[in-house]
Amino acid sequence: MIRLFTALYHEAQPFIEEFSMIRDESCRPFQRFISGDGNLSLLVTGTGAVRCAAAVSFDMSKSLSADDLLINIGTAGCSRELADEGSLFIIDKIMSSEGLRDLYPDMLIDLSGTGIGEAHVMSYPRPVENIPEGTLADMESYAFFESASIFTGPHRIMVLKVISDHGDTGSLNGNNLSGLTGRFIPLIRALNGKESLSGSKEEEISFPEGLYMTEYMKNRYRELIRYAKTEGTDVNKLIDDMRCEGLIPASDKRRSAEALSELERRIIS
Amino acid sequence: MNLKDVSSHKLFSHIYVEEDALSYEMTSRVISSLPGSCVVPIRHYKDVFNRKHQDIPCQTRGGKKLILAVNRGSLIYKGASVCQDFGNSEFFYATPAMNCVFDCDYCFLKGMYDTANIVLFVNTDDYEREVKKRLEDGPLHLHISYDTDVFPLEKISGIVSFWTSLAQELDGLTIEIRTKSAPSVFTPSPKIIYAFTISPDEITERFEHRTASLDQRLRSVSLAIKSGCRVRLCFDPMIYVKGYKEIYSRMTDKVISSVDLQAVDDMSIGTFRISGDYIRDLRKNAPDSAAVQFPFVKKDNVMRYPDVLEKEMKEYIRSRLKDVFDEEKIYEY
Repeated sequence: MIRLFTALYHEAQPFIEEFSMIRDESCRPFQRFISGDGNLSLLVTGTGAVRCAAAVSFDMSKSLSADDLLINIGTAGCSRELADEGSLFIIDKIMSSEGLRDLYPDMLIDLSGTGIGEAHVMSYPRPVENIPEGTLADMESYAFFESASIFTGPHRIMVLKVISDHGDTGSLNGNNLSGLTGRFIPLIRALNGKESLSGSKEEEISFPEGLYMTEYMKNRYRELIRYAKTEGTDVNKLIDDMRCEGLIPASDKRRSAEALSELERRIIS
Repeated sequence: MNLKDVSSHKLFSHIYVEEDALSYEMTSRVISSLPGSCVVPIRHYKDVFNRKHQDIPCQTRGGKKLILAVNRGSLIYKGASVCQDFGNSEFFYATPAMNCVFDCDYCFLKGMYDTANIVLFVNTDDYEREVKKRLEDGPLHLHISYDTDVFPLEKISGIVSFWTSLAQELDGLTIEIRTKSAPSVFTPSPKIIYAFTISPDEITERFEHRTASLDQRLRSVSLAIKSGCRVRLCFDPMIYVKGYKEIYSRMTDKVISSVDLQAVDDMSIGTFRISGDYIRDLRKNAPDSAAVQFPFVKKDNVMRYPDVLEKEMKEYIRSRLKDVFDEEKIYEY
């Protein structure tokens, strides 16, 4: 699932419309939206670090799958020399104006040819007029990444920024903001359902009936099954054979241990 | 928008550079060798390398990143008892880099580090000073590719050349460079040992991703011998797979027919073994790999094949090699 986070409703609006998202009324006081197929959610965090961190924590506490990709989408300012209004960036380094430790999302997606550049961002507690050269300036990236990092890894967190101003925020209005963040729609559509972004998962293993196993034996059985799977061995057939030969069911723990040893021998040899 | 498959994301698309590392010659060399890479300045390598909840398979698929740093900690370590010492009373290793360009399913580095990214230490002058200090106490046998394979980093950094030059220059220093690659440039010297890990193609293809094939490694071995280098062949780690005898037999035939074994210094034979502390992470990172999912037995906190199998595997290859090579020079681990 892709979980989007924007500071303002106007920044969220193009995604809500594009992906026909509907309001999830169970998430008050936050505005949360979800797509019909359930693959995309969007939470409006409110502006500033505290609101953003609180919203991310709230959303994570509702549910979190290892495959979820958390994306902060928002506007940022920068110096005139760095980029024009409307330029799109993926963030590779997040700094805090308070001098805290810098944060680094994993850069795992090749965006060459997409028109999306790469930049550092510095997060401030309030809008800034004189933005230092070389970095973007915003208010939420640091809080977003740091709070999301409590729950998941840097490979599952992404920060996307579109340039809205060069320190002169007076002319910004809702329509401007929607038009700007909406430029990320093609990227979100491309990312949606992209299988190769999935992380590693562990599979549950069930135990065959008729074996009485201690915790140690159960662990050994799990190891055997995982190994058999990597070698393409049909364990169900091996167990069926052992049933036919009368080795399973075993009447007690000792006979179960013998059956497990025999299963191990058959899997390895 | 068509996103390129993340698996095509190139190696070292990003170079993270410590502020303190910027002034080093090796840093300039690496950055100029990778002109398409994005350079991200960082304060300390651990800010990137040691982040929480990293996912090694994801990072490997998305392209490993390079971190250039100054090693402010220990530069030379004493080897652990499970390591190969080849009869040297004391075994030391240096860490010019942490983590590896290659992607072997069974590599202990995947249990030791929480990331797929690679740190290259650029302060070679400090390593040189430390080696000279150690040499005051007597000769030093130093492995330089214990926490990495240095050859894939040579072209961009010159790290191998630095160490081979140092070995030639300093009395008492012998270095050993272990690799699964197939280098073509060697420095012949009695003080430099090129140690090649020799694996069958079936094992390389399944478990030693991005490494050189058996043919490539053997051609490199022959070239090293022809250049007058000291060469060590390491049949270690042997990995158990069904039909391993045929697989290792074909490999041994190839080695015997293509390498002048009389010119080889020595050999090692060993089956896969790993610290019990690492196996959980290794298995998590390679859930589909038979090399690490094997139901090992634990002995003194080391995970290894059952005794009978381990002996059988080692004996099998020893019996093939002892007919063509001085058995006293075959070390077993």
